Amino acid sequence: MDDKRIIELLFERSEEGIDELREKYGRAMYGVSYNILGSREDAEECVNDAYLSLWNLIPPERPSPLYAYACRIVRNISLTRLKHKTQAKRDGDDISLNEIAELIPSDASVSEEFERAEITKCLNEWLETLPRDNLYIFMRKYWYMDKAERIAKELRISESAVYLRLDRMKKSLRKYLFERGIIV
Amino acid sequence: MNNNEIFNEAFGNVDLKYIENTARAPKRKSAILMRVMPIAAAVAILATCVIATFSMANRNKPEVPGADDPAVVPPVVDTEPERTNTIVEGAFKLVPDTTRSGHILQPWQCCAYAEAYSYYLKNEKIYIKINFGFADNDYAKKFASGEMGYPDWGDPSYALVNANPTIRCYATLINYYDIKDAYENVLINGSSKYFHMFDEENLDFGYITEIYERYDPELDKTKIYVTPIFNCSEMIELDFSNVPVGTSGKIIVDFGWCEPDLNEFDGRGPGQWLYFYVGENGIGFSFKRPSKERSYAKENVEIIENANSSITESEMVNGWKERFGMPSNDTNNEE
Repeated sequence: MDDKRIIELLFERSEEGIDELREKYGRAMYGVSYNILGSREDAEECVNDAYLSLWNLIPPERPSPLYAYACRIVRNISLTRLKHKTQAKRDGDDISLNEIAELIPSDASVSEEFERAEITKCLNEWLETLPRDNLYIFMRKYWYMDKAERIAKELRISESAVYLRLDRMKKSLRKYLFERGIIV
Repeated sequence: MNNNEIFNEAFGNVDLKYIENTARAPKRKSAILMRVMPIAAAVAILATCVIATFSMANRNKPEVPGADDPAVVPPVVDTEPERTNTIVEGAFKLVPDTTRSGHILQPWQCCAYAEAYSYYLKNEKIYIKINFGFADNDYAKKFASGEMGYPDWGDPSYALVNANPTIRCYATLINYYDIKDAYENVLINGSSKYFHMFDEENLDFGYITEIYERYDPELDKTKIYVTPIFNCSEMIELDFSNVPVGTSGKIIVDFGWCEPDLNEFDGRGPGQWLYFYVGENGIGFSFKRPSKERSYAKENVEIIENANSSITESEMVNGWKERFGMPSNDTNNEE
């Protein structure tokens, strides 16, 4: 079933829309959540929460592409859950979050002058400059939180090559953000 | 909310198209389709060339080739081209290029290895894949000894990447000569002159550990054996359809490099010669460099066994002539 039809079903408040969404994107959504949480039970709960969010958001939203929208929602829910879990454990040292933290140098801070939307806009502009392969590596690593090993396998390059490119991209992004005053 | 959370929230909301577009891995580009650069200035800088020496000899009808000729590892000539065959397998080892000592490339030491497959019938186009690696032994050793001042991340490549992050490789395959016009007949990827620049994204990264172990087991493995290497690979198509029978020569494939910050090209990277012979029945190819192989053979029994180190260039070419049905009374190529 195509995305438009799924959205129509949700507009009609038909639960079949959720069933079709689960059928089409459920596995990918679970993958995003599992990458973040590393727990099957937690990932399944987050995916179910994401279905509920989508049910509440559509209508009035008509997201396009639906896949990316659904993944973003489950990612946000999963990160929130991860934050609560790490706070509960009081170790505050989760690998997934640490990997994201790599993007900002430890001795830098995000300027308070900028709204989130402005930072996002800047990130979009930087992502636009990346070649296709690098965009894939960066997004898979830091947005989907895939392991480097998997990315390497998908691209048929070595794991070291993935790390090499990530390292270069991190430097490029930091420079980009510094130049625009996002991080100081 | 701390910096990372702010940033992560912003990153989580990047445009949906980036999420959508990275749902699946992009298809890989073929090496042949990589960016081809104009030759102009770089050709002049590079000292690389094809110096092909001709042996346009006597065209008498050949005798039947000796199938068990012990002197050569003859290129296989099948009735059906087989692109997955490896030719002269075992004849090539990773070679530390000690000739670089004293050049501006220091402390970098270039290493080269090559492999090839496919070629054959006279009217077939020949596809050869050539891989090269750029490694830096000195760096690895210094890193291992702590001289570089990097913390131990457990991965030498990481130190290399951070300390001197980018090497840009230039692959050149130039078929130019000022000796005889006839060599314009050999086309490389459709051109008599071919130059190809890899950009950073086309480079792979790996290690040369295993290859080192093969040819010098006496080295201190704890210090040198895990050496990061930048790899580049080129697939070339050679067209000999217009080359006269009896022609022999060599083509040089060179890889140069430069550090992007300096933006200064240095063509004295590792290179490889491809000897060829155009016979009546087919085309013979070899990457053999007999003198090199002989020197390795003194140090490593395994290589003696695997690489037919006793072959001379003369014997090799003559063997081809027998194999491919050409008389062998003309002189052969010389470097």
